[in-house]
Amino acid sequence: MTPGLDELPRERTRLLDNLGWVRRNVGPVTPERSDALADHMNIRRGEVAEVVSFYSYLGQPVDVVRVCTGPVCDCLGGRALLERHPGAVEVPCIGHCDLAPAMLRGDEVVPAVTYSTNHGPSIDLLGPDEPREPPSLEPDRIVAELEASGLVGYGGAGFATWRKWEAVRKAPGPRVVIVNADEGEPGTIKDRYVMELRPHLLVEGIEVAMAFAEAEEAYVYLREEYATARERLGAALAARGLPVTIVTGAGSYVCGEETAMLESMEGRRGMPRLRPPFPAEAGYLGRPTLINNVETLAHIPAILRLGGAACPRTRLWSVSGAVARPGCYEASVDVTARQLIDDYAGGATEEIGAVVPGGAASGIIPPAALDAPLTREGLAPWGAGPGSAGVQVFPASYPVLRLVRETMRFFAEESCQKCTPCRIGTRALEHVLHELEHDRPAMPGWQLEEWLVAMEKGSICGLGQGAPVPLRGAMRHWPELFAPLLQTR
Amino acid sequence: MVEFTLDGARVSAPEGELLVHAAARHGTFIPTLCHDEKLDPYGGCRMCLVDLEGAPRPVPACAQRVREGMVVSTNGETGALRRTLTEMLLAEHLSPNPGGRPNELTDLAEELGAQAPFLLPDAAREPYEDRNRLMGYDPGACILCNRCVRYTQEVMQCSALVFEGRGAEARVVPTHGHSWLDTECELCGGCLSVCPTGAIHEQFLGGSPAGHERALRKTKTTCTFCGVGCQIDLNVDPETKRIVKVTSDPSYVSNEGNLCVKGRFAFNFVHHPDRLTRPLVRGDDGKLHPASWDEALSLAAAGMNGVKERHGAQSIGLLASARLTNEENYLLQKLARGVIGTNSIHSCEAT
Repeated sequence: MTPGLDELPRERTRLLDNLGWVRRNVGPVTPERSDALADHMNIRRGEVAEVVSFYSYLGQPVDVVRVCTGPVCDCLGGRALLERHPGAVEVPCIGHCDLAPAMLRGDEVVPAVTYSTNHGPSIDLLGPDEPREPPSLEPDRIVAELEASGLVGYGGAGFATWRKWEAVRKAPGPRVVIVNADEGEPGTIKDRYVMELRPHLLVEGIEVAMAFAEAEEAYVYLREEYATARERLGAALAARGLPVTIVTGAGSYVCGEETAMLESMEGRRGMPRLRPPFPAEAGYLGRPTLINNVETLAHIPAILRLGGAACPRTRLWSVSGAVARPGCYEASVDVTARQLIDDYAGGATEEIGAVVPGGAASGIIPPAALDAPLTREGLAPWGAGPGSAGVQVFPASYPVLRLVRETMRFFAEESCQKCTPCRIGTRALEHVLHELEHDRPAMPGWQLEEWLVAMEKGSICGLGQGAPVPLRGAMRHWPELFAPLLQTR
Repeated sequence: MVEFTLDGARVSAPEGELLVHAAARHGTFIPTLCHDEKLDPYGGCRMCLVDLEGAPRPVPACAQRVREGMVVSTNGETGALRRTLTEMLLAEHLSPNPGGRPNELTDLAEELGAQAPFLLPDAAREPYEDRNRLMGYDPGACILCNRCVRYTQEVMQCSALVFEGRGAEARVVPTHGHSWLDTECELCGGCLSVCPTGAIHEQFLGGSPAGHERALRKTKTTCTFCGVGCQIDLNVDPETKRIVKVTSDPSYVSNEGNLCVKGRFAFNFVHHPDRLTRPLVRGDDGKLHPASWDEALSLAAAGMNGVKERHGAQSIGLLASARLTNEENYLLQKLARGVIGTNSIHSCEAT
């Protein structure tokens, strides 16, 4: 029925790849095509159908027009853009917040990418990007340098990198290295910058990780929207002749959660696993797996060359929203929002109303917090955290309730539906916020608090656990908006 | 065996046993909705969250295995959590009693005093109609615990139901939204037997069985359809004295609550007017007349002896019903070989 289908690999781990192939070479994955692939791969038809329905894009044609209505794009006119393009598909953050409101016509980014960035000491996005021999150090020494550098996971969780690396070495091989390039946190574009501007630097980091873990295979799980990154990273990997496979996602935020990513790569719905075991002990196909974010790996060559203690502690900040030069900037890990806005991003274009410091679940801070260092410690008093360093600047004209509701809508749409508190909690919070926008209390404040706690304590993964954070931030800094909830018994 | 602490008491359990089962044996009932002993631990509904000393957040007792020295508390903060989770599930539980099956969610809600503060605006799912006549499905009662889907995949090894979509659009539905009849489904009804809310329920030509399952009188017996000997409960309506459904309990040894389409759904013959309840012998008038067993068996024996005398034993063959047990099949082949003298015996189970 489908020419070429017979040639596709039959391993379950290739299901997502194969589905992407069908979408690109045959057309949107219809039930008939899904069944044909299932029969070819000897997988039950229902199990393939479940996977297809989990992702946003498999049922869409390759040239579909996608308009972003993530929080930054919504603030800067995403919905008006959507209206001007009848037939376009509304999608949450597509990782081009520097171009907000952003749109994809097939793989083509509209408006075209313009890089605005700076020289930095570690990743140096403007530096020359060439293949290089990676630094070669003993594993113990690598762990020690990583510890001295203070490097943490820059995907958002902020877990100490050296601990992860040490745990993987302790587990018996064969081991696997996976690069988390599924950058999906709204407002976060830094990994795309690394892959588009410094792909060889990332490859260097991958080589170090593979040698460290004595891994014979490695994978890059890359979000589907990053076509240019796919091309440039693919070329850089080929230049070094590495056994690294790029796995292309198909539109699912939660697949950036590492255990959901493993499920996705193994050909199932991207629903997070219960932990323990952690991926370092039993990850991809049950093997010890070292999973690191793109930026995290890209810092490693400089750390090993300069020494962990001597390497300047910088990270990549994605700055978007109401600023003159939105983009990605390398700056100190303890920079303030005001410095990023004024010294790097050309200043605010409007009076600032609120800042989201590091992605959807990092909190919301008021203008009074602009001089707080964007570190875990600096933001804790403001009920926020640096997360993925996706700094989104919202003007005072953009209502805070709308910002939080849009964020909650995003979580609700992306929730994998495995666990009750996230599955229902995110939708319920969207409803509560919608009602508040109309001055109606959907539930009493004390009960809302119980629901937030249930989400924070009861959810399986960071999506549900972190979803209450922006709401809590808004309740803390703009309590007057939530007054109706407190008036109910 | 390992020793651990459960709500302050030292208890023991085989190493690796699931905490929810170990606790139950020690008299501590931890509610679950998505858990089923036949299925791999899932940990989705979160109803069984308990506090585990040293763990950063509560852990699901349905997936946590007991280990030496662990300290578990089931009655701390997690009690409040359970009520909140129940409230959440009720916020989209539009249809609490679609088919008269027990509903573990509404039972739990009653016990915990949980009520939904509102119904979610997107609670309604696409209605589902199926042209099969045995199972009904009301998506408004589904809590997406995924038990039915996992049952089809893990126990039946078939592709009948899927957990489809993401976000508010997610639903459980036969593959591609087809009828069950157009999937690999064999209508065994296992999915409905594991459904905690009765979203999937028995449905017959005349609709769902009358009355709630709890009001029916259960009589345990052995299924008569084949030699496996599945243990079943005939559910009898106490007023009409008729069997209205067949259920089976996971504790029953030979079949662990699993049934096939015949065992679960094909009981209508019991009350059918055409059912043979005593032997009939065709008379000289060409019609069938009631007879005693002795009469009927003697006649059959005489007939067969006649054939044997006229044409030899090899002219006789015996075909055993699929309903016979092993022991009955054994006796029948003794009859064939030892008494009649033929090797021509076969069971219709061997297709």
